[in-house]
Amino acid sequence: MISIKNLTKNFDDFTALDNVSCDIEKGVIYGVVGSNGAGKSTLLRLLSGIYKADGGSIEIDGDNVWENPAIKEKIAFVPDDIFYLNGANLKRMAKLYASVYKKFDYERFNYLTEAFKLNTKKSINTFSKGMKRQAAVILSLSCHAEYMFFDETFDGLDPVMRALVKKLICDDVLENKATAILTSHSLRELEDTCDQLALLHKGGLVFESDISNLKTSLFKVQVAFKEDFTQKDFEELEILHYIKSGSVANMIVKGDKEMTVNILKGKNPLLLDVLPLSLEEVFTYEMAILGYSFDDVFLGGEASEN
Amino acid sequence: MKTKNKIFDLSLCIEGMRLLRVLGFISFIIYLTISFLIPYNYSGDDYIGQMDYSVMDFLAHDYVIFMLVVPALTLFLFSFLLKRNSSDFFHSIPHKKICVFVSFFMSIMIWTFIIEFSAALFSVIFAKIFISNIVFDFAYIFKTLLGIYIASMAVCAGILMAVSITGNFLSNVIVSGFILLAPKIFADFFLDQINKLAYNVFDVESFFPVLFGKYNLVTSFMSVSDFTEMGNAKYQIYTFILFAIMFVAALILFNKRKSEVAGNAASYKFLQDVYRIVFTMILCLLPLNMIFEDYGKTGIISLYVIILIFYFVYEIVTTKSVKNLIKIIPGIFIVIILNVCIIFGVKIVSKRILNYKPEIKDMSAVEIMMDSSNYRYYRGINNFKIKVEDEAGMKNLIAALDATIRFNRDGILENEELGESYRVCYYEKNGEKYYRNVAITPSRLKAVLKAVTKEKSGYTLPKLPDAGYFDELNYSYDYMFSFENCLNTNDLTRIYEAYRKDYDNMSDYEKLARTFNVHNENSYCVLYLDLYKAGINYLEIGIDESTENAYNEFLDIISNKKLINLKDKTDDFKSLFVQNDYIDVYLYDGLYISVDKNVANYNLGSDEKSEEFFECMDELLDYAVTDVDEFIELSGNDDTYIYSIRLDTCIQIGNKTYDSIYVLIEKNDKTEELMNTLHSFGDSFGDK
Repeated sequence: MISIKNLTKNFDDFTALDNVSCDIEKGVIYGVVGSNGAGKSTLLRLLSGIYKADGGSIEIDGDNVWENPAIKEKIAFVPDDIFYLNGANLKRMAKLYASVYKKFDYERFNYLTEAFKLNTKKSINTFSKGMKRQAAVILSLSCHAEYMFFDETFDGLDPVMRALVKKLICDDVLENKATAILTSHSLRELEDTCDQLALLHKGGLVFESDISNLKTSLFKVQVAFKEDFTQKDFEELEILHYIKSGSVANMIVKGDKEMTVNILKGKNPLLLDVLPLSLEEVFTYEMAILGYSFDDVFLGGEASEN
Repeated sequence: MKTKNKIFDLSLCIEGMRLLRVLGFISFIIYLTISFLIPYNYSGDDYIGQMDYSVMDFLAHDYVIFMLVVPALTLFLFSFLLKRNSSDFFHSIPHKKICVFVSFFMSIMIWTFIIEFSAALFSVIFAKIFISNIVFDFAYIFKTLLGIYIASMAVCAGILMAVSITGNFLSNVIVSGFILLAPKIFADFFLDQINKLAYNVFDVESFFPVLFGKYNLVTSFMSVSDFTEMGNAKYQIYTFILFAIMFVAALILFNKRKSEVAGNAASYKFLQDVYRIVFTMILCLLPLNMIFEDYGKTGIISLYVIILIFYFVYEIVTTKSVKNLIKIIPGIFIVIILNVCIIFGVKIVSKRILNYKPEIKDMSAVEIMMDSSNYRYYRGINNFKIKVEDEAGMKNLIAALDATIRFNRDGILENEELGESYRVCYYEKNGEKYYRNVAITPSRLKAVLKAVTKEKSGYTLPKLPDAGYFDELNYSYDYMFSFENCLNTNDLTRIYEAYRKDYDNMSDYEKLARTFNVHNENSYCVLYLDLYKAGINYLEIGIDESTENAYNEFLDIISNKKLINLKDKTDDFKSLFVQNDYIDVYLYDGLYISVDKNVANYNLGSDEKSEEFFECMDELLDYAVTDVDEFIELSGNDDTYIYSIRLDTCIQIGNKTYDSIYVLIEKNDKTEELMNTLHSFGDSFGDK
């Protein structure tokens, strides 16, 4: 389990992370979204023991990460800016990884390079951006890490490779009870992979929630009645958003779906439709509760992360 | 857990070596090639014996390994600190930072060991192959290699300090230079300027003996012209301590270093200010030197203006940014203050030195100290000191200090005598000691030494070792090139052992005089014995009539030798003259007559003239001294001419090959006539 308490990280006079707290259970795929400069990469680097926190603590399996080789042995980190030795090929990089990670598995490495169809003898410099990312994923997955951190990893991957990487991550999580944290600035990318999602904005954790919970606790209802009606007629429901156009009202309701339907049915509607929301829509409304605008968060990102 | 507190990991170390393999291998090949080329180059020489070679001759490339190879290896292996992605990677691996540091350090030192010691090994092997009778002192070589290795460790540690507090390559190199060289540069400058203003009487060694820097093997090459002290245990210990300090400092700094400073000129903002100021101060040494040398104001100001520009240029080049140029202006004031401090500091200290004028009533003793900079006929005399307590002697040495200042300042030479400079300590009755460099003329020295007694002064002169102590006995005596059978090792051993008897019988004064090289200046030495130990000329002795036993032994040996009769060799000589590109004929009758085939205005251009020349030379040889006793008697005498030829290939005579042959020609009317004729053939030079 990953336990983050009041985590703060500064770079000179810029605060990259400010008092972030969350717990991540083992065996989950945890997504972190946020715009550029939100603190996603900083968070992962802190979790990987690359950065030292200026405040708060990070514990993995009850132990502090910083300068802790035993914990670091359990971690594999694929950063956004990947490091390769000059002129090295995948084989050489495998040697490097094998020399520093005791659990590096050559069998798995060979299997993955075949799956991704990458030439291990060719210089990585000749690879495309996507292939370089694939190579990084291969090397990390070959380490049999219990905790895998992927920073904007899907960026540059084609849909097929993206699906393959997601599958491999999911397999590891399911079979080996690994924990994965994926960061992205795109909700859609994480929607179908992650169990939990957190939103970072300007170094702060805006909210985090279980995805299934998010999707089921918030839904759109389309309703029409013979008589005229207003929002006040639905006071028993927790309505986040209400639009009436003619005699049809569209409501975003938070709560138990079945209960909501029963309540509305009791009012004898002419039309009653319950529609699922996309994750983006869920986020929009949840953030609105918190006083954030979706556009501000996802499109108006400020300083780049350090 | 097992890996938790590891400070060294073998796999990481091997990986470090792997990362260095290209650089290491290239260095290895280059060094191996040099190890082959040096002895191969000597293989054409016709020298006999070890004396012409020193360890330095064969291991010159090893001596510089810490200047070239070690910095390259260190900077390369730790270059992961220069980029964010590589820095992040190495900070993420499951090893403590101290483990990465130590393991990579070991990788560098293992490569250094491989290159250094195999280069030395191959040098020795190839030397043995190409030079038949070469002898090596392996203990000396090993001690030297150890010194080089310790210097390498120190350089590595210094550079590791630098890479831990900088984040780009340029800053790595600059700050490495600061750490390793700047203290020496500043100390040397400060002390040199003081010494200059104090007319070279300031004894630098006593000021900060350790900081003087000769003990630091990394920078000692800046003080001495060669690397012979690499094998010195005292220097090795000092350098090792320096290494240990820098290593620990580097370790702490590396541990504290954040991954996110990769790419920055300095790991902390204030450090960038420090680097800039140090850089500027090094440049300021130029105008400061000009200030102390009383150069014109215009030049000095111009230089300071240029340095001011460089102050800003440094910031731009190292940070690749102009945004801080305004913020760094206050640093200029610090530079100004430091300059002012140096100027005042130097002037105050040098004035204090000059103002010291010892008075006899205050003196308890004056000590003369001999060190490696003084001529020593015997290298076994190290740090020889002699305390003078008699009033006359002390007065003499006080006057010597005055005379030294006058000479150094005004060029006034006392009694037309030049003196050798010694470290002198003036002991005052109140317990204070003042060290100065004083030129003591031979006459002063003799007067002082005559008054000194062993009992009062407490000095001990080492006994001369027996001949077996030395690796090689040789000699220099031009006229030995006149003999068919030169002095062999047995001959020299006999002469040397006879000299030892002479030495034991000498008075204390005579021994001291020899130690200080003020004995028998005008006597004529028939022979100079050179005895070698580990490739170094360890003992030089002049044999003259005063060393009776040795002199007689020499004469006895020589009497059984045969003088070369060059007359028999003139045909060879002629043919050699035709064959050789270069042949020097020196005929000395007060003037040298030099006949060099290659000299542009050589006037032996025609066959006719050549024939005439050879006839003249041939006739002169009829008057060659052939009797050994007569030869000895006339050697160094004005009643003879010296006739010598020098060849660029050797001629075999007896059991020796010669590239030079000397003949003494009896002086008479005929030979004078012949000499005058010969003058017309070649260039003449010298003072008659």
